[in-house]
Amino acid sequence: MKNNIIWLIAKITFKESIRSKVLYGIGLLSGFLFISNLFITQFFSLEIGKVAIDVGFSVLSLAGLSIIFFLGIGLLSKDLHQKNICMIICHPVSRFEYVVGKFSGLALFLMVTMGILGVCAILSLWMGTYNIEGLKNLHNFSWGIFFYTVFFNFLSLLTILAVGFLFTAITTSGYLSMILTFFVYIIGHTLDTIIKVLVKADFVQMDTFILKGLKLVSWILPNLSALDFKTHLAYGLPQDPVYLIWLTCYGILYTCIVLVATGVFLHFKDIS
Amino acid sequence: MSKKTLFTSIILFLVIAGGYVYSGLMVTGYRNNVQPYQRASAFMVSPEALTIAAGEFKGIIADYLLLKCSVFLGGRYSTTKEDWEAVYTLFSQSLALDPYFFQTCYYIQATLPWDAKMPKQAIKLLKISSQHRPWDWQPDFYIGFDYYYFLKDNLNGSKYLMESSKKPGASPLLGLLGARLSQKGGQTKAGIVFLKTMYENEKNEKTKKQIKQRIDALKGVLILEKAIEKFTLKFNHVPKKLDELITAEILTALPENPYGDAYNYDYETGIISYDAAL
Repeated sequence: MKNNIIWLIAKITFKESIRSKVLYGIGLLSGFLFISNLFITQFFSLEIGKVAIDVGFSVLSLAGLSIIFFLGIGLLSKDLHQKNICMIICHPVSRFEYVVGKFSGLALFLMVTMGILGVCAILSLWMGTYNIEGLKNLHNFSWGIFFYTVFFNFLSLLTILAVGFLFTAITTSGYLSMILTFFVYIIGHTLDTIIKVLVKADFVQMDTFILKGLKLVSWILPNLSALDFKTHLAYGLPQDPVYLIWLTCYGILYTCIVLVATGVFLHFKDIS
Repeated sequence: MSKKTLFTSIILFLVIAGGYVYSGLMVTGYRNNVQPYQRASAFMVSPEALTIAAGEFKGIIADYLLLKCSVFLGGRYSTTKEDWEAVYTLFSQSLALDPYFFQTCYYIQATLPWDAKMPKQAIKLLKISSQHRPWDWQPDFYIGFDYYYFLKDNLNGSKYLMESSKKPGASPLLGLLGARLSQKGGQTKAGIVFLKTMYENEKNEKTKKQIKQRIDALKGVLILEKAIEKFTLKFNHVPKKLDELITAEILTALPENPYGDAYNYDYETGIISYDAAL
């Protein structure tokens, strides 16, 4: 019964996402950018496949992020801040089930979108490298690396979506939630590099206390840069499978913790 | 719509369209005139800071910076020292964002040591490429070449050429060249060891013969170097000619040079060569 409720909310969210007009804009922009791959690669003469991957996967990330910011957070924010949620929780549905259902629906939508965009990315890569040996032009290209690059990109988006849910539950405005999620996205992609640069300390002398503080923050905010494998795909750099398994655990568990936190915040939130 | 309104609208449209085309032509003409004075420009941000700021779009930003650099290099009429510094910054930034990209490495080698006369800076950047492309022999080859050709540093030139020759796809001739430079820099033994490793790994008989010839030549050089050392200890000065080694009874005969001619000896520098090419 419980599973049915979560599945029902997920299904409704999925259908709601497909009907959203924001999707047309994202689709149009992605299509335009994928086609631009054909022209951009012409500016380079060596390792064109690498450039095609850079463009294709940047579009993939950008489209995924747009879906989260304009659609995902928007949907939950509309429910919470315009009190649409009352229509659901007046039924025997717990707030936590609502969060999980909503998240699952959007995750399913993101998965389908990533799948479609992944196919578009490989098509644009194939078209971009058509005149020079195609995919053979890429150094050590492997479908395995391609699939796990798309998978970790999807996991990274799920993590950001979960963070977006948390901020939507905490704040009173959708825009505020978007801004805070955007900051987490930026920090998640940069904090790891910042700490590495500071530890190396070639250019700056950093207080140990601040460094420890940053390391503590790195436990609170997601390490999104670890989930980014675009460079590995472009150069066919293999990864240790054990590391990939741990990384999957890290991403999934972080997302679960944030979702639980969202459920707890929502539980104590005065919605009525 | 009345005829008068239609007429006015058409006139207005033609005036606006004509103005647009004219201003477009003026802008194009102005920009064409400006081009000869075009200068290279780079954001004066450290590569590390840019790496932090680029987030997950490092690859595409690296491509953009390289494109910006190549647009300037392809369209320039004259280049100042400031331009080259900006180009160097762009290369450093692009390489910090994507240290694997071969095109950056290629452009660096094609411009910095030659046109910009900045071989040391080129080597610094090429070393980053070399570290990140262990499968590629070209960055090490470029570094070795720059050390030898621009900085006249045979020892380092030899070191990098030898490194380059160990990598897949490299011509065995690189190893031969490296060994020759190594000998010029006083590392004959290292050159012999390196060539022996190459000889053992080589499958092509013709190349094996070439390597063997070079090993024999270096062995001859090693014999002469040791004999000169003994001569110097005995007489407190270096011999002026190799024949003095026989007169002093240190050698019974000079080693045979597998390349035909006798070994060349420069007593001022102490360098022994088996050919006059380098």
